[in-house]
Amino acid sequence: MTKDAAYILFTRLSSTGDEEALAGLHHIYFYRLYKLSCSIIGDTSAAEEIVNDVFLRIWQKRSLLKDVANPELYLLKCARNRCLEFLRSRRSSVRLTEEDELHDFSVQWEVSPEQLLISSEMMRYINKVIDQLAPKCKLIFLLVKESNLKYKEVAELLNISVKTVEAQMSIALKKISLSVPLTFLQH
Amino acid sequence: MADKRLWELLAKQYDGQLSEDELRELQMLLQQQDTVPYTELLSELKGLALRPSHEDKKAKEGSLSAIMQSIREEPVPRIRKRQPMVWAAVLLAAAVVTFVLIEINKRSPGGDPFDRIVTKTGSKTLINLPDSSTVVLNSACQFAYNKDFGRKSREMQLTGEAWFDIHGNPDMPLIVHAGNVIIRVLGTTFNVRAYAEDSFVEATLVKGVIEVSLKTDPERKILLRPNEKIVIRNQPAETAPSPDSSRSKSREEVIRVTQVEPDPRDSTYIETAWLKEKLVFRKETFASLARRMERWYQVRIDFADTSRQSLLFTGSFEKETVGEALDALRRSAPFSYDINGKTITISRGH
Repeated sequence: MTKDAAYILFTRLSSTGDEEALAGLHHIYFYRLYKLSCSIIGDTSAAEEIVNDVFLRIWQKRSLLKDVANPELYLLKCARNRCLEFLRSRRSSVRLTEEDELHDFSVQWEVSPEQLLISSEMMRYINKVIDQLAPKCKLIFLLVKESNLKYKEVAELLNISVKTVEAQMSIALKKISLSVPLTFLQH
Repeated sequence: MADKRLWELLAKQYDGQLSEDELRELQMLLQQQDTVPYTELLSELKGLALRPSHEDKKAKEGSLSAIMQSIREEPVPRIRKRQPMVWAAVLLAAAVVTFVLIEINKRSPGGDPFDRIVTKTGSKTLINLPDSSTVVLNSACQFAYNKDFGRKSREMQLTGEAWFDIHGNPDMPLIVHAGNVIIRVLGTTFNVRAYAEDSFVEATLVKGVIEVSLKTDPERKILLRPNEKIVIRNQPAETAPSPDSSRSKSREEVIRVTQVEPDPRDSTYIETAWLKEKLVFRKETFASLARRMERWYQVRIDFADTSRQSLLFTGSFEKETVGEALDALRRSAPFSYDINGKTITISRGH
């Protein structure tokens, strides 16, 4: 329920303007914003700059944050817009479209020891297959998995159709499921 | 073809967008698959935690210190000296905020190994812990955590209600003591309600896994899965230490695990509505609701007629005054009330 945490931190940031709330948001959202930026611009140090910029902007505009309905989506959209501005400063025209290439990035998950079905051995298979997903498919999986975002919101964020998000998710879920040797799944 | 459709439906299910017809279709397709529990596997996927690489961690740390440095260099708006009223207002506000928000006894005599925090009624307090975990305390809480939190161990004590977002650390589980209940956590998000005046301790798990046990019976461990809520009724003292055969039966009665579902409109839970300044209740007895309203409105609610305590209510309050709230409740069930300062008396309706 990081969504609630974000909501509280946004409220705190706008009402009292304390640095701790900003640090809290940074803690929760850094990796997601960073991976999204890496994926759009394909340069890790520029991506880090962009994420810093997003947090500085929300700090400067903190008094307006209390009206944000979905803090999570708001942050992701800020990062996306900053990425597009960054690309625009390099090329003449940039839009995020269905055809746009996203850059590959790496991301790994881990399992808590109490999770019953997934063993660490199985986790290795899962991470391997996620790593091999096409960049767009990987990014969509990451956003859906980590962000409580609906497919519709992911589609809006990446400027693609809901159908594409659905199709990419079904590819990701299928590949992940099939990557796991059947012996692990039979009780 | 059927295979493609199966994965389409599983993807939709992952998003929570499955219609009833589609759910039936999915169940049919899954039956043809027999041995492979895809749905279980996919629901397990949701519990996975991101594992940042070494480079990612360094990027995060660098980013945070760069941001903090930048905002501290930001010019601070100056307050003109000839406006003593402004200073007075600032000082007063600071005093009020300090008084209302938080009361920390960092160095209590006797070498208390815990940092203790007490929250007033009608306030909420957010605590950032050294290991990046976050705890939000509801009003009228007593909360404590060990002074060397995150270095050797992670222990907390709670009387009241709190929402926890705990940073995962498999080497150092976090333990929450709430009433007679012990909750063991590795890394997860959950809500605990354990007010001394309530007759129960309640824990609702949103993400991850927690292990719940009783102080009186530490061997019996209950594993809670996401979207499950456990309610533990405080055992009456006289029945607690009886090691005869009837014991297991009475124990069954005090622990109950139920499924909770987030509101489909905004994916929030009743149990965590207080975080958003809402008092939400669903088929709740008036007795229980009154306890919560007391903390919410900082009043005392007495029942002159105890039969009113068993009335059931469903609804939510946000900005209503206590009078408006009671009037709204009165529209759905017969009772009358009388407000006398901070004390409200509920009696039979006319």
